[in-house]
Amino acid sequence: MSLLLRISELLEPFSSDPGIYMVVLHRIDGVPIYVKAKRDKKVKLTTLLYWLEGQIKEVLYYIFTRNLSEASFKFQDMVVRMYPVSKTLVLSIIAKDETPLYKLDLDLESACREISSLVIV
Amino acid sequence: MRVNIVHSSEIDIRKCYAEIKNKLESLDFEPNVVMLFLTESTWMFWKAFNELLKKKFPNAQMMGIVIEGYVLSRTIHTRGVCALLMDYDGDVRVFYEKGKGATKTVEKLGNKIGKGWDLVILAFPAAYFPGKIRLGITFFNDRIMYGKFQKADYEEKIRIMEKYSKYLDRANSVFPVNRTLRIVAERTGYDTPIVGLNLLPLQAATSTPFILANYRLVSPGAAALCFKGKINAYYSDIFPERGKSFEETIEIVKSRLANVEDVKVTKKGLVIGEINGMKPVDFLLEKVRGYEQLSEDEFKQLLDKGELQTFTPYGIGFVSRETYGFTALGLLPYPINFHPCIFELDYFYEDGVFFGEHYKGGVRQLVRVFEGVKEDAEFHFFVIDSQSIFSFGRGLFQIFDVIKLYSENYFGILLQSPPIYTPKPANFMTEIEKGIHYFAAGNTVLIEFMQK
Repeated sequence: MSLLLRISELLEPFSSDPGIYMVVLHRIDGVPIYVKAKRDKKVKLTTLLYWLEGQIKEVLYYIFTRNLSEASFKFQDMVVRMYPVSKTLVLSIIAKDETPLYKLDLDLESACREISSLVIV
Repeated sequence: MRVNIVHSSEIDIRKCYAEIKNKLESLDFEPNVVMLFLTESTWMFWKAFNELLKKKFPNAQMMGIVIEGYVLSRTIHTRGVCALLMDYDGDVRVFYEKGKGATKTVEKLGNKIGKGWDLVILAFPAAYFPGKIRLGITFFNDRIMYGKFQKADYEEKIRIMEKYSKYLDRANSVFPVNRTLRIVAERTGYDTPIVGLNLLPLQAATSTPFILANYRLVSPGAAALCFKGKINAYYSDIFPERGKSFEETIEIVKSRLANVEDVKVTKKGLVIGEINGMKPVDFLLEKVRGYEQLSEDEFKQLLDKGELQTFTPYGIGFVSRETYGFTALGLLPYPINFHPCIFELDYFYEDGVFFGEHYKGGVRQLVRVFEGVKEDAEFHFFVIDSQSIFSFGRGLFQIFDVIKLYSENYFGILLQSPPIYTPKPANFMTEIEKGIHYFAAGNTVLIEFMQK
């Protein structure tokens, strides 16, 4: 099984969540290598994706230099969460702000750990 | 003994079912024990998973419950479905009972279990949330009886609370943790460890929690998975050892919990009538800014949606008259006058403490139970308090730093803080009756399956 297929298997369950608009795995330079998004008239996902691409570089800087463990942005009725997977990958989710994140956080951390074990030899 | 854990963290029920089915096809042994664990995202589809397992393993001893999450070798999941499949070397059997009256149900179950087992896993609903009609009757009874309670003298108040307690018991609304363990401990001869899975979802829905036993729905009832063979049970709480007197225990507790305040509680059976002379919910609202009492309509709507919160950082702590052990009840702003309690209150002093929950010692404290395990263990199954999800968040992953030092083959579930009955003497703070241990948060129970 290819690496990308295995990664998409691990991230697929999050996109089934009705509270999540988008799941993205970014490369170190901000370029997304996996995107799963839902159609929603209220959310301009391409604009958001472009904005995220810019943020990733900043987040990675703090991950490398300050041991940042996660970053969170909230605007309008959405929340953007970023989790470092490895020194070269960051996982982002965009969710409705009323989505309870306390349990989701554990599942996302599990996914990050599993992806990390795939990419770090 | 062979063990396999089959799981899917898919939310999409069709994908989840397909993944579980595929994984079951590749199983290379026939289990004689099946434990089905459904989560918030899948419990309403229990029939499909129950049928799947029944077709595949019709002769296995089976128990199924709803959990908040499960712990695999290096990950924690709160979605999907998980099944623990075991080919256990010794004798194993599931007993269950469903009927009118919580106490009668547990007594009948205890008689069925009988003596001679080496470990019992006992699943019961600490509190059961019934359908609309039964709920309406409960609200009505609460209003009528509390009206009488407010006008009564002390003796009459006790009598009214006793009557209301008996109503809760008859309606199967509460299976009190200490009474349930006490009855089964007595029927099993006081020499069998009993691990309680006292079910209380973090977010309750109508007709929950439910229990499956040998592929049948037995709620609101109870079920027991009984093992005979080389098997051990361990327990830990978040406190140091208890004191030798009421005063000593209170002093220790005050150094461990946050915002502690002495209170006097009017209580009987399964009911708290007053705290410092006030209605329990009024007392809570006075102490905690930002809390608002739910209306009956809000309560019913949240229950319908499966979003009725059952967890709270605020509680009333009690000291046992029998052991000077300590336990607590979480206080919630529900639209009720009498505050029901998930343990029998008659064994405790009326003087207690109000507190804000606080863990000392962090995540490592939560899994210190592993420190006692034996070297020749084959598999460990553990139950961690689900409120640790709120207390630690992603920090909960630090449990692996401890567990990996003591075990290579383990599986855990996140559930309401588990109780235990153990015949071995110990001096835990949360031993509230001889052998019976329970606290509202931070308990961990570990079951150790030994090599044959």
